[in-house]
Amino acid sequence: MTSAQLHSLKKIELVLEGAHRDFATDLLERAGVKGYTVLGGVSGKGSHGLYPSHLMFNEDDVLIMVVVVVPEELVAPILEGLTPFFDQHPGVMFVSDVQVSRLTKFTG
Amino acid sequence: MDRDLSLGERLKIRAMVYVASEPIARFWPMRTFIHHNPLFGLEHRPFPEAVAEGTSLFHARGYLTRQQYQEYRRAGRVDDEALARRIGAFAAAHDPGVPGVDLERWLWCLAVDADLAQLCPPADWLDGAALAAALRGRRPEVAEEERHARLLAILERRLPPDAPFHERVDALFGTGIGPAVDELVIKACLDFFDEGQSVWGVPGRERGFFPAWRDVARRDLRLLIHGRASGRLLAEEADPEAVVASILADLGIPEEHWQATILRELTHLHGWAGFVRFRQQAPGYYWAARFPADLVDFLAVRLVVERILVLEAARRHRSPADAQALAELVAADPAGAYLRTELHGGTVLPGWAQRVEQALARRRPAAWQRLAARYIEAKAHHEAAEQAGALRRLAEQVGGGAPTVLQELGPHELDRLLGALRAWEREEGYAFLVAMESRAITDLVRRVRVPEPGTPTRPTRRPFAQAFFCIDVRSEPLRRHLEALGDYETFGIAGFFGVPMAFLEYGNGSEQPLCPAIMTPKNLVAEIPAGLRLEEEPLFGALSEVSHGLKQSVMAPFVAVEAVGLLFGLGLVGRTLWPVGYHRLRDRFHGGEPPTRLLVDKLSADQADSIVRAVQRAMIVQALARELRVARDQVTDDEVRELREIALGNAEGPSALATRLGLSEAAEARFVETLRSVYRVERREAARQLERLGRLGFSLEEQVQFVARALTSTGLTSNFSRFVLIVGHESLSRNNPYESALDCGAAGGAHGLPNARAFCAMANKPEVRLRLRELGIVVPEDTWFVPGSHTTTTDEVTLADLDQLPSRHLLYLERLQAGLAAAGRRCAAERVRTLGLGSRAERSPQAAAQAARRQANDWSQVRPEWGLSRNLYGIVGGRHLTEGVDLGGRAFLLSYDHRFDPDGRFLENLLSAPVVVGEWINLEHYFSTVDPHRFGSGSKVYHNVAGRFGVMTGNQSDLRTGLPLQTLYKDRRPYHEPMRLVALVEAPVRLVLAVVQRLPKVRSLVFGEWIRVVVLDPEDGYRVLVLEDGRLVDHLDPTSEPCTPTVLEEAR
Amino acid sequence: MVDLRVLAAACLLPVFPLSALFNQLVEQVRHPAARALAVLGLPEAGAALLEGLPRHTLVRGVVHSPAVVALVLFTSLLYALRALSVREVTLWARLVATSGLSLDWLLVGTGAPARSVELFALAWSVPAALLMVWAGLFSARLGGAYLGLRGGLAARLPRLSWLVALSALALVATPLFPSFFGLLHVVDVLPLSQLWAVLGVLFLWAWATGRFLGHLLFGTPGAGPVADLPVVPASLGVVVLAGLVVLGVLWSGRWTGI
Repeated sequence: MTSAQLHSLKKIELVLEGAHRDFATDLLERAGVKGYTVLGGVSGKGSHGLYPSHLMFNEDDVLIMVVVVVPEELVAPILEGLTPFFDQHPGVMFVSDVQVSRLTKFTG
Repeated sequence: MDRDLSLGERLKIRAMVYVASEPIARFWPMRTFIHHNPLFGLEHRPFPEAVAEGTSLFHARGYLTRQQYQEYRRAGRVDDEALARRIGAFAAAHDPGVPGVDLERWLWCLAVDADLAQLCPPADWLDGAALAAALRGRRPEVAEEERHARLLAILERRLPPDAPFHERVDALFGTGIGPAVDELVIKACLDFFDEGQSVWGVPGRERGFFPAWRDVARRDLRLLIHGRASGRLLAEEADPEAVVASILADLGIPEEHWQATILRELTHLHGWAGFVRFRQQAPGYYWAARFPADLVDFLAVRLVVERILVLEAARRHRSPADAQALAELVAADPAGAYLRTELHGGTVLPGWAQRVEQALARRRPAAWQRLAARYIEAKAHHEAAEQAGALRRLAEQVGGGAPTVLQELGPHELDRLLGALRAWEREEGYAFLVAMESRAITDLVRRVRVPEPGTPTRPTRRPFAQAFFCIDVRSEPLRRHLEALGDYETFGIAGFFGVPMAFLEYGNGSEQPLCPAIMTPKNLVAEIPAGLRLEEEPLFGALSEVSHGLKQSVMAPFVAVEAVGLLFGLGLVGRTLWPVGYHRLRDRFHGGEPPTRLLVDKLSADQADSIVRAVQRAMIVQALARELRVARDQVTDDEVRELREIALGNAEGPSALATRLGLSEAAEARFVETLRSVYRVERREAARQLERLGRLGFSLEEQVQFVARALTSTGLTSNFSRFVLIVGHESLSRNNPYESALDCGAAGGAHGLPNARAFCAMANKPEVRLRLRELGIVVPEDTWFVPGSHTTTTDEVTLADLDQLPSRHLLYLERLQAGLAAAGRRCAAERVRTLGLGSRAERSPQAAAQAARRQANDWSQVRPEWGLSRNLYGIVGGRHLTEGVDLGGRAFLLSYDHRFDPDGRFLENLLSAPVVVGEWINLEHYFSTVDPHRFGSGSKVYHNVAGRFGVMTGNQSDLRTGLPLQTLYKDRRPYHEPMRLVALVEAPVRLVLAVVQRLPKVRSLVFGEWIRVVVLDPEDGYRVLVLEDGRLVDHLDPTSEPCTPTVLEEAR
Repeated sequence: MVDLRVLAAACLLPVFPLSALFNQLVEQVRHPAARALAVLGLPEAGAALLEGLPRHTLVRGVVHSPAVVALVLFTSLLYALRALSVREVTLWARLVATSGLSLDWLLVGTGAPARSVELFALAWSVPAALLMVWAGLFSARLGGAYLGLRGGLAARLPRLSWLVALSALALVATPLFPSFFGLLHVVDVLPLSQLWAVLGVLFLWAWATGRFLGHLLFGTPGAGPVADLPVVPASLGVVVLAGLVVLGVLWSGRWTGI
């Protein structure tokens, strides 16, 4: 039995308005990420007020969260790329350490 | 480029462009014209702020001129009290503390009596001291040291660091780089974005906008003659992001200004930029998928062209080539720079213009230094004299000693007075707007019929027919006339009837979304002909296909005249001289359309599978006929099936057909490959087709939901009549690029008839009726839902799917159709008067209807109908409020009954979709009226269609956004009264506020005052509450304060 | 050597480089009416001077030599070229008038009667004088006669703009105006090898007029109401221009021998 080997990578989570979903995913793809996950129906509170998760006809007015796992060298470029956006729009960005077993899904 | 961008920098540029482009509204292709707010990107801010920013960004007006407002006031459209209140509030807040000057009186005279466009035009050298001197008849003096500092300040204002570089060079040297850049970029856009209008396309478009353009530009003589620099700039294979960063750095623009500079660059051609923005965000837009382009490409093209031209100008005129050089130039010689900006900016005093021009042309700094000193003196004197004269005239109008007071004022006091007047002039437009809206609200509220408590709001007898019309303003007159005729009850509902669907019309290749533009439909409804006969086509139809197709071929001019010319000639002559008769003739030749059905039910797995098989079989038969010349009757079904299995990869080897025909193995393999690649008979494609078929139709639950929601929210849950008409609307006009603008906005700029038919198909189904009964809505057996279409240009209502009508209803059909026709004629008579078609047309309703039909079919007509012009009110409530009230076709009427909506779910739907659509329509009209040439699209007469998706003015220009002059103006005066939508809601205040609070988008619209909300509270004796400046005010008694602050605070 | 009177005439009926003197003289006069008179009078004085000279000096002498012809054509082209970029009305009128007046020397060189020489000069100086007058009216209303600043004058001052436009057309050999027939005669008189110069002059005039009218007529109008020319003076201007046309048509008969 071979034990699964774990590799360290970085996880970036973005919370932003659904209207900008395409922008965020396009940016991540251009950065070279292998894949990402989008969670809809996110609600919360921030400096811009309350956001209910009530989905009307499309996702423009609700919050979404985009989760992506990348090798360390991509973190700085992605953060640099998203800075102009978060300077003007509500939302947040977290970076944390994470470990994955199937490295090929995230790099290479 | 000598700058290699890191990944982070590359992404940052993309993000910067994305954020910078947000104020630019998206431009939908005009085939489905979407009315939208031109300042949509600024809607998160309150209306006055957004207008101030938008007008400076787009160099446009946000309000009418003072004279136009004064005209409205003379016509009684302005509430003087509201205006006086606003002036009073302003005067109290901005009191300049000048003794003897009653600011309120001065401002009132200025706003109401002064025949001036602007009392205090922008002036360079004007201040209190200069003004005081001028008032006393002396020449103002500008001290030497002060002059230098003020020069620098003026230049800073005229040459801001975040303005695009070419703007600054043009201001200083008159080089005309701006228009040249615009022209080259427009040409590039026209070439790349063409959607089938031109015959020869740009090569290599699949690689993207910037790579394709660069390849062509390298060989473009026009660019090459602009300088050797172009060769170098275009030679390298750089990404658009690298190009953008490199050129911005070359131009010497500091990074903190990049964002603002990018925005100002993009707003130069905001029509094209808006189109690129739409294209890159539109899901499934065919042309965007084939030829991708985004704003970074657009910006890169623009910047490269700009750089080339700037370098060329630098060589030829010795103008600066980057920001540092420009700053040095200005710092070294501010007087010269000032003279330059004066001359090339057009603000120079006419009497000095020739001298200034000659001095600058001599290039001797000493000469123009001397001239500058004298010129500044003259300019200061001119400005002060003009301003003094204007103030004196105003003082005379104020009367009562004001002129003497003005004369006595000292410099500091004059400064403060000037400041106050300037500040007021910036706000005057908004004050007038609010005052006009106040009058409009009063007008509405006085005419609305408040029901007596206890009386029923719906008729007690069974009406002859009930009809659902779209909320469009043009339905209002028709509803009024129909109700006046007899026992009709009408309701208003958004034109897609709550059924968001994508529609696949018979004979059309692509699907069309039929719902408000803010929604994305998930379900597909297909139309199939009742009797399926695919091979028949009338001869004339084929000929007309050929003749129209010929228009696009290169050989057309040589062939068409001989071959089809006569036919075409008939068309041209017929269309012009006998519009109505010709089109009738043409329709008859086309043989009419076969009756069709809509598929609204979901397919079962078996059905879906059989359809895919049938399509594949048909494809194979087609392939056999075209590739191998084997006719249909020479092939058996089994052979076709075998071929199908082979193509799908389920079977191998030579087919029976191949053996029979004697095809070689290679030939057969080739044929199978063709089947797979060209005719799409292959496994993955089959799976995709099955998936698409899964989108077809709605489940039973969904159907019940739609019908129940529509009936409950409008209040029709009982007392159904025999006929329930569901009437969509459309417009008919010829040769009109704006045709789609006149169609149903709620159906996404298309016809509402398919939605109506789908709704009726659902509502007539026994299974649906059974479930409705369980929900408490009892629809009688003899009630039949009939779809119809209201043509707004001719006011004719045509009923559809009459072949499905039960036989006992046929008895009453004639009465129904006669009633609709009579109502339509009366409606036409009312409308025709406003179009000014002459007294003959107004003689009788029949004559009016005839005139309206002619108008619709006339291809030279620039104004087939007024459309949504003069829209003003949105009324959300029962018909009892407005029954019999002549609203002049100005109101969006939504039927809503708050008693069936305790938790406000239906109100949510109404506020977030139809009311938002109404807001978009209203603001589109508003901005296109106040500035028809910047926000609107100017005169239709000069329009040329570009690429099949937009119009330009003249030969080449920015893509025109907004509505044309002819839609909004009549005889040089605005026909549409520009005011924000007055949304009257008949519901308890607490319910309305609770609902608004739940919807972030609606919340920002309501509290930002993009729409004016008026609440008629049935639980409070129908008190009229208006939301203004964040407070709820009783409109008929403005001094009281009814709404408790806590409720309002929670709702904010 | 060259007769002093010929030199004096060259100042008044302008030929390069003495045309500079003519232009300076007109420039120095400030009042628009006086300036108009100067433009009318000075070329006539020059023509009168030439009239007094003996025939042979004019016909076989200096004036007829190819060098002088070349100089005259050069003057005409030069001033036409300079007028291209000018936006001020008086300056434009002066330059184009100089360009046209210099062509009068070609008539002198071929022995045309004195009356014809004078009338030829009038064909250019009258429209130029009119333009000076209109420019004066512009200055009185707008502060200066510089076009293209806040354009759209056609909408604000329609009558004045009409007069300016027609006068400008009269100046640049538009058919039916006398300058057209004058130019026609010049074409008649010149040998084929030098015709290109006259065509070049015509081309430059057309270009300059196009730009001039463009600046006059188009653009977004500035603010503020401006009083247009009252009907009586405007009609007077129209009468003068109409008179020019009539004169031109009558006169053409004499040139072409109809």
